[in-house]
Amino acid sequence: MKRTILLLAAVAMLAGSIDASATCWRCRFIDDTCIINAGTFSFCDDSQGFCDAGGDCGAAAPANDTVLATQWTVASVERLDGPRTAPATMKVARVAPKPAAAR
Amino acid sequence: MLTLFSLLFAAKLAATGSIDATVRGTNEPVDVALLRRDDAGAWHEQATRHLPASERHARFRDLAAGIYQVRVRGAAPFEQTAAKVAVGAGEARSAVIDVDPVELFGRATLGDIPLGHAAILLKQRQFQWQAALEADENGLFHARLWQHGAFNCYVRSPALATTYGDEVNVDGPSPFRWELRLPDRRLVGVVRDRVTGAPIAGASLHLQTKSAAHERNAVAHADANGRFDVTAMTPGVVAIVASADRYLDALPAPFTIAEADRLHEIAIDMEPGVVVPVAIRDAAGQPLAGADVLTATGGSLRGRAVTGGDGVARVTLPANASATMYVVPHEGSFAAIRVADAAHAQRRITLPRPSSTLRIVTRTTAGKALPNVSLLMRVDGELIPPAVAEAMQALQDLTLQTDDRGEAVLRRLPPGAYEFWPYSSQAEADAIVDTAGSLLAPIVVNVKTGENTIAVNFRAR
Repeated sequence: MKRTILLLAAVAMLAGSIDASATCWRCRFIDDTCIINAGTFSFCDDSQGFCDAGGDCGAAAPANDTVLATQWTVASVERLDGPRTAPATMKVARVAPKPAAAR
Repeated sequence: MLTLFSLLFAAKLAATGSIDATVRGTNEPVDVALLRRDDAGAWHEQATRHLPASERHARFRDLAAGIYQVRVRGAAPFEQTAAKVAVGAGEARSAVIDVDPVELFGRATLGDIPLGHAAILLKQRQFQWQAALEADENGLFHARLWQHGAFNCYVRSPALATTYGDEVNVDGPSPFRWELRLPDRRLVGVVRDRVTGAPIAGASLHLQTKSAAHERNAVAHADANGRFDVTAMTPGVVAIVASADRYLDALPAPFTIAEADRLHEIAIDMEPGVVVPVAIRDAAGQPLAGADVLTATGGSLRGRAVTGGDGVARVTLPANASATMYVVPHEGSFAAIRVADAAHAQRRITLPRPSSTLRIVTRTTAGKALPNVSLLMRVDGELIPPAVAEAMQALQDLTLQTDDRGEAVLRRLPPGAYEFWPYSSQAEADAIVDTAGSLLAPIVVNVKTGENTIAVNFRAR
């Protein structure tokens, strides 16, 4: 038991030193700035007055071609700060192929 | 034993850390700077120590837990090197910063033509230090770097309409030879008035070139004849937004510039608009300065104006078509006003009080967090298209997406009837925008003044 506690404590203390550096970026078009934890690029620089991103952030990249509605449906919506609301009915929008939006 | 350990553990969490830095590889006087990384990945300088030639150690104490870099600077601009140090709560860390000089010899060309007197800026990608140099009349340049690694490179020259961006991995033994060859691929065109065909002088062009490997943005301007000529284009899908006074922004269809292309020509036709002064007031009736007023048609942003000290924005609207004005002040709250045409536009808009917060939790029916769910929002019947949502994120830090824990907190909202559609991809969002007018939203919430929290439970299909 003591060994387990010591091991858990050691792991908790070491965790403070871990650098979670697997970061993905994208450029935000409207103000030419880098956005962290979004997009698919491993680096991004907006210090020159415009946004420049590149590299592959690999497995950390969010899938950008998935359609949420094909995997999940809203079963219910609960109000957690008061009386519950009735479950909503899910109406799924059709996904039609479209040319990429300019912004 | 457990109590004692808990006390020790608590004491460690409360304690501050330190870094002992040792500089190797140079006998020159140096400055040793300590920088800390913030949550957005940016480095901020915390302290600097000057080390004379006789001293090679620097100590930084009283450090909060975090990610730090120790940066060593010599006398010349490229004499910089750094090392990253992760400091846990109460940890004493040591770091050795090696000066590992590399002689960089390069030649800048545009195609095969030397790019004389080009200004070249190198930015170390991991540690973000940067330094600039100028090529000679033959495009030749030299620098003595103190650190290897991947660098972003930016080239400016009178021969280029925009700043050219590239990257270089400086590795291997010294000297490192680099042929900085800018592609001789051009995008040329003209910006015209859609009605009269007249050229629009000085129009601003925001260019975005996207490929799997890169996203590069640049700004160019049309000349007095409405013409532009952008050299050194990289291959990819190019999206352009053209802006000019008294015109609605033009968004020509994105096009592809292939590796083999040398010249791509395009004509951009801009729709003249009508400039309407619109007075923006806060909930107390006071003029609101510095508020953005965005014009959108068909879900696309077509203009942007900012209120002056008198709270008035000069908004460009379509002369004979409908549009929506979105008022987005930095202070929070917003308004969406539909306009039948410029002649009937509302000239005075009073914003509701930003008195509500909405916390949205996305989870599975099993209670597990469903992270990174994007949300398309409709407020009191007005859809907020993704382009406007992005502007709201930029201006108000309002992010319509749940985080890794499946939570989104939308602060400084006006009360009202809010509806949301969850989505993952841009194509999915576009499809929802196209059909939202005839569909019920799956998430409906009446946001009241104060704190509001909802949980959205998702079932797997």
